[in-house]
Amino acid sequence: MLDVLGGFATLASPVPFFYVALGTFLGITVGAIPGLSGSMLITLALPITYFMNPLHAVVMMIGIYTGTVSGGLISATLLRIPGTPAAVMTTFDGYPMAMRGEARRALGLGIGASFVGGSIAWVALAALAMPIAAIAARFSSFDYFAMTVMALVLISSVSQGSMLKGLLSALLGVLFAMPGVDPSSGQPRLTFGWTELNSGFDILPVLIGLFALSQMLTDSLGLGRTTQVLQISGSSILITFAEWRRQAGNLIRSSLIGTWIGILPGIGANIGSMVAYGVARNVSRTPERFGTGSEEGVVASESANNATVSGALVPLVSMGIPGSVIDALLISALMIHSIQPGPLLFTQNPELVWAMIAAAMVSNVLMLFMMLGLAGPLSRLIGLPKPWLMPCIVVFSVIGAFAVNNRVFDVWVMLAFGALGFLLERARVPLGPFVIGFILAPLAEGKLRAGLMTTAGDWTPIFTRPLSAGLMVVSLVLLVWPGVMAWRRRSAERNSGEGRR
Amino acid sequence: MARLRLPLAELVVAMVVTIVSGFCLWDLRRVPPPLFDPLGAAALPRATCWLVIALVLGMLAQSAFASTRSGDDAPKDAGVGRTGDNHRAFFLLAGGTLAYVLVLTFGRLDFAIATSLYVFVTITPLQRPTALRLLGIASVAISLGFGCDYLFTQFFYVDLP
Repeated sequence: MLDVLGGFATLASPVPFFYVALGTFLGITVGAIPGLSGSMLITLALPITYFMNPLHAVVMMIGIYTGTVSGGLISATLLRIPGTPAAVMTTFDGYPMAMRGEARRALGLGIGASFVGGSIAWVALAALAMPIAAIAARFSSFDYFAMTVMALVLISSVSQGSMLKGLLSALLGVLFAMPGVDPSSGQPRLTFGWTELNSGFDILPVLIGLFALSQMLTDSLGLGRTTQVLQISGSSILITFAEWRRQAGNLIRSSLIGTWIGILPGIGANIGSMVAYGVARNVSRTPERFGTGSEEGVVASESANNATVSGALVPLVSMGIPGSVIDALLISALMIHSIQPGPLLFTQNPELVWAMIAAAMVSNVLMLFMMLGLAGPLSRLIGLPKPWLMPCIVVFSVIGAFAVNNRVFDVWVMLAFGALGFLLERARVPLGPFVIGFILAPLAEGKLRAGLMTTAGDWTPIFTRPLSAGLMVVSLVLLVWPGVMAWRRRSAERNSGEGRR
Repeated sequence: MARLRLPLAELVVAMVVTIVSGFCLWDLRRVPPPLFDPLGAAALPRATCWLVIALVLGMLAQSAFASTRSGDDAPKDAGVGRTGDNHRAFFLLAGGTLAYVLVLTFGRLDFAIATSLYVFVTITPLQRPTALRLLGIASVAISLGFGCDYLFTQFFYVDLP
């Protein structure tokens, strides 16, 4: 309890508070504009954090994270285009509500639900992070290796598109993390004789290329398509307490689902909101209203997606495993400042960790007031002409990639990964697993090799130690389950076809 | 029998990924065998390359199977380009960005001027040209180019190209 209060005390100073507020505001603004994502904003902000105090950098990133997940609600409701992937489910009911003149009510429900979801998840973060870190500090090398394998398989299995493509993306990320001087033997590998690759691909140019540049290339193909922007209409954005009481069960259930999904390594806000929306529809007394402007749908989606923010911070601060793609970017922010994420973070940098936990709540509160006050002005921003934004974002991407090491090589790396990211997206290969694979590969390889060195090359402890064996079994089930379900579905279709004949 | 059609984007990805994996496997031959480490520096990258090649073949097989089952002549997302895509804007942005980075690499123009030119040349063709709009674009281009140059060199001490 005292540690949590200490975290809040750290943020009570003007400068850290300013950075949380700035991050939240930028996140909401970017989250509201379709085509600009939180991943892109964090990626572009990372080079600027070089020049900042680590605490300020990380709390600003957390503010951006909270803001972007919430900001997507505005364009989802008024434009029927989610500002961020996390707001996909909100479009199904928020836009129909706006179409019948209840835009303010939809926004009010979404903003309030976001706040409640974020608050409930924050309690889990504050309560669980330290105990989990204490347990994780006792993990063996093989346990960590099994955990990273499970995280990669998990994000591959829930990514959009086929699991095969998710696994391909994850392994591509692992492969591109391999170039450089091997830390154990000092032997260069996959450098092809280029001295610039001795330290491997720097994470910033890779991320900027994948998330910023490839997004701009994809958006350029969509230029010229007209979209209708609805005006904010309706009575009041504030929802009465009695109306919130009616939504209480849905709110709490969806927030808990989002928290749990967030805690699972590798899965993000869009999955959390999808699962919560599905559950809300299944238990609702009026499931037929979902998709036509159901308030329950908006509440379920928005409370769950904000709950995943704090939920995903649990594995990040306790184990150094990203809870989502954006958490992978937060790990990059820590690494840029020479802070090693992992279970020892609580002992080595307790002020930073508790400030991060406090920042999650502070940004949640700031998000509430900012969204309530700025929903109107922000709705005008979503009509910003894309042709003006795109070259500006490319310029910032070039500067960001160059600033890492002051060399043009990194700009070319950014271009190459931008082209790769664009191609992968056109082939419907998700980018999330790529980033998780890229971030986790050094950890996974290091732990595996360390473990094998202690056992003189014996692999059996991976399958005999209870935790690592359990995690490997879960990974195997996740790998095999989609195939089994598809085979059963095809058998049922074939049998029903034969029965009809 | 239904025609076998594979999405062009998947074919391009498969080709690129296979070539990259092939190059990686070739380079890994030069890594010496491990001395103290049971696994060595090459084992995991090598295994990853083979897995990637296997997954790429699996992806193509999955698409081929889906296309023969559906019997569609045109598979979904048939190409890198889809119906309604603005190819002009895409090639303008991609080509302009490539030219911009080439200019910075060979140091032909000062960063501020190169950036201003890039922004102006990229935005202008995508907007209906009126005198006021051109003035606006030029203002944005010059502000961004010279503004970023000043901000990053004087405040963040980045030695821009």
